[in-house]
Amino acid sequence: MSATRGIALTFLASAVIGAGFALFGLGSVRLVRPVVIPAIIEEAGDGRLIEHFVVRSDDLIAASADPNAASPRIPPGIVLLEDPALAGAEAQTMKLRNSEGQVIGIASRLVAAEGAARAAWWTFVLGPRGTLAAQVADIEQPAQGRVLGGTVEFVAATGGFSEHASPAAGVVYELEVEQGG
Amino acid sequence: MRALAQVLAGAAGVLTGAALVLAGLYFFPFAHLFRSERILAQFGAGRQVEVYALEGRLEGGDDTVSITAGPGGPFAPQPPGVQPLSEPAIRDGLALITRIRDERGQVVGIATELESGHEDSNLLAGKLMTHTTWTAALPGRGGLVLYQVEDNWTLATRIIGPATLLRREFQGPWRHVNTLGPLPNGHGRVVAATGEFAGRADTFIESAEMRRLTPEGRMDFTMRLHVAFHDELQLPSLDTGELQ
Repeated sequence: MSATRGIALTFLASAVIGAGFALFGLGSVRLVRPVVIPAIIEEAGDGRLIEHFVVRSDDLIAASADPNAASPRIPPGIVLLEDPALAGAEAQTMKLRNSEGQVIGIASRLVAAEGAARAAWWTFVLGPRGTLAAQVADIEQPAQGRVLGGTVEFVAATGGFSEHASPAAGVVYELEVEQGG
Repeated sequence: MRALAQVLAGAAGVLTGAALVLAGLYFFPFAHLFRSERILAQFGAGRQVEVYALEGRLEGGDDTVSITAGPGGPFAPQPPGVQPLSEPAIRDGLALITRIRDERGQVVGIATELESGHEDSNLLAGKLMTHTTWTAALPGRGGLVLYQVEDNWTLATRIIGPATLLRREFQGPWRHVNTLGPLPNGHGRVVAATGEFAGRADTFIESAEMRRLTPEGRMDFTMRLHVAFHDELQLPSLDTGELQ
């Protein structure tokens, strides 16, 4: 075997090895590593399962509204919802905590007129647990909401939903989700 | 001398093999990257379709109210001072608030887009995916909650990557259907619909047109949500809040 041919064979064999390492390495990369935080769910005794979420005042990511609304603007200088079609509307995004204070997902709350009332649509995105959607049909009656549906863990979810605030404790929203029952 | 040549040939071979794999992956024509025109042309055939658009303008007049993502995300946070999604459970996410417009350009509602990273994202499959949930509230009409698996492979490799790594502004336009599922036909699923949409909303897709992306992550773009509805005459119920 000539020296040149030997070097060429070494190059080709090494190229195959390099390609193999690259394929193995690329295939091994986990682009997304879901953080699994077990759900904290209480049994109500009547078959209902209840989960509580908490949003503290510093968990609000962004909050905007109709310029005439009294709701908060976060961060300062955020665009307000000045369009005539959005009169009375509010929009918020926030971090979501479980009852032990761990951040477990993100959520949004949209308020707009539906029928004779102003309704709030809540959407919770809880990583590998999936998406959960709920609605308070009249924000003047925040304890009478309901779960609308969801994905993954919540794909067949039905039940009650309520939103409350405890400003003195620095809590913007306390949310209770019921399933089943 | 001959041994040194062998070592150098081996090293060059390893590097060449790895580089060829990377180049092949970058240019590989994954089938899901070439479906946009077909999906757009076929979407909603025989059904009523409404399109809600949001515009991002570098020159102002942007529909975006707020956008944030994990630390080091590719898009410029807006407005300045909005907090990033830093905690481990949400750092691969995105949270957007935007106004939405009808096909005449009139603002007709407010929407949020919430994302979390998709665990099946895989470089060798050419998939950089997210679980994406859109929520749209249209005053006086009702609300829609829409879930999709979204793929951002081309956006990341051809647009965001060069713009951020090479500090080179992207000039489009680039048009793409971002929705990859979860339905077998590649459409997204309606999770819930209320008001006049209850019982009518069927499936949806998200399409995007990126015109410019600066190295700082500022964009000039249009994004559209195409929602297909059943014929109103076939409604099972018009009760507010019927689940899909």
